[in-house]
Amino acid sequence: MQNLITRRMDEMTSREVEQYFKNGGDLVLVPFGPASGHGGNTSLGIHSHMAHAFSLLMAEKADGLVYPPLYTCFSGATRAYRGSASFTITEQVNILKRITGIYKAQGFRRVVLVAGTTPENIAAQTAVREYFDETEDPVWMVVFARLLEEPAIKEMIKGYPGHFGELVLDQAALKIIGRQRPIPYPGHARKLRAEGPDQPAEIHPDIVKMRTWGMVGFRHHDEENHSNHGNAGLTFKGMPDTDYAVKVFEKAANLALPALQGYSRYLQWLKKHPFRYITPTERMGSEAK
Amino acid sequence: MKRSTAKVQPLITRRMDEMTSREVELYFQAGGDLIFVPMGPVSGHGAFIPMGIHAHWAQAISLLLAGRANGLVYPPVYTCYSGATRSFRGACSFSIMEQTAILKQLVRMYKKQGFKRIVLVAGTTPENMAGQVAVREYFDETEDPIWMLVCEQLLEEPSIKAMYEGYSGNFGETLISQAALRILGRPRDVPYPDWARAPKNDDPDQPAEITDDIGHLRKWGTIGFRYFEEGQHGNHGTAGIKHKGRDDVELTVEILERCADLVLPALEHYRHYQAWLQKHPFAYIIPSEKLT
Repeated sequence: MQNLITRRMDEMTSREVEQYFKNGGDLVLVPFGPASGHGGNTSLGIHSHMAHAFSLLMAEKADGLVYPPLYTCFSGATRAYRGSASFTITEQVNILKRITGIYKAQGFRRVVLVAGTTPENIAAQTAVREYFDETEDPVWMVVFARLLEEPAIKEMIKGYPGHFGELVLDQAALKIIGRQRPIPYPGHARKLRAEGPDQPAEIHPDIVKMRTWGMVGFRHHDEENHSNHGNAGLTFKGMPDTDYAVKVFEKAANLALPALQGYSRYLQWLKKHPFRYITPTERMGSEAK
Repeated sequence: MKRSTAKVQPLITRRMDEMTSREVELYFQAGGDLIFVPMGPVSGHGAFIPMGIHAHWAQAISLLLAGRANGLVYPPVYTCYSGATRSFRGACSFSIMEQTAILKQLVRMYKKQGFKRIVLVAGTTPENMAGQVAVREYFDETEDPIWMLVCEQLLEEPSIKAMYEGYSGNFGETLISQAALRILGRPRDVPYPDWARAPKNDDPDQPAEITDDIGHLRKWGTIGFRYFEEGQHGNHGTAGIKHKGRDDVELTVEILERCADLVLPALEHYRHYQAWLQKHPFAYIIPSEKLT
């Protein structure tokens, strides 16, 4: 593990990056997420903040560097919130593939695209699949929100007296990044509320039905369709929930670490197994005797 | 010219990614209409200067301006053309056309949302190249002007030059980066502080064998080029020197603040130009002067 003054690439000198390489470094994490509307309490950059915070923790644990957070992403259904800035999925794909191509060419063997959650992961999964098909060189996308589904994390947040969601995660992420800000409506943020549907009542059943078997274009129509339901400012296990959520980020980074080793092994394995067309290897009973 | 009477709203932050969508909406309802989009690539600058210097500079100026002119600041766009620095590891260069497309997309979205004034803020060159393409193309497509501000051009103002006149080192990006990071709340020590304090000559940015050739070609136009050694685009600046009894980084923070003060009236020029254009929609030019 190299002792670097910072792992944020934009704050490093090019000489520091070069020395990182000479000392065996090979990992860059690229956090991304759009500026997207989340109502009264959660910041527009929440997805990117989560990805950035997670990337910084991962970089510390796995001797990686962190590209500055990328906001030029698809924000999808939140485009009706002023302040949102949604790029098309295709635009985001091209940007991610461009960054990947550049850093692979420079010698970063492991490039990890880090999404906060959805919908920015849609473009990233396209970038990951296309880049591999074009080069046979895999990049990995990790979606921070999926780590929250791990039993070890679920166990950590079990019993939280509110809704442990993006609001408290945003607060924690901003703390890790070093940009903490107060919650705009702290009284509201502490109250427990039911999570309402994300669509107006008149069309909610239609949308749900279509989503059940596939996908349909949609957006949010009222502020509460995509916000104002999370909590923060509560005490949990004897500490402020934001501090507790910082521990959740740290735990998530610890959980993801072995997957980085798996990524290294996969890279090595693929080198020994270059592309070839698949030929029959198994007798299926109808071959000529 | 009529000065704006719009009040500066007391916002908890002007960094859009740290604001809630409700705060942005309330900003609009209270009369806000201005957004800054700072930009600059991740690009190699050798031993003293962080790779994000151009974006740091642009973001620092954007934040200072936003505080004075009641604007908001989009998070820095790093997906920019870094040009000749692509041979520094860590640099990440997008094509000029890719950067142009990204800037135009941001402009379109925020214009549609009601931001009347959009200011693209470049630290310096080469990110200004795509900035100027975006500015010209967007205007020709819409007749609605956006403004690109290039921070480096402000350093040429006489009142700014007077502030660092007589500085015993090389007043350049090493100091600017230190000051910008301080404004952004992310200060870091200069690597190799003794070396950074030592005065240095500004060497040519190309190998000796081709310096004259490149020099001649540049004189009358543009030619593709890149860097071959670290010293061609780094290691010449100074920081950590006292100037007139003051810390030079502290002085540079003050210089950046002064730059923001200088820009303020130009924002009113921008507003006036927009209003004038609305009253003068596009028309083909017809003869109006007797030439006989």
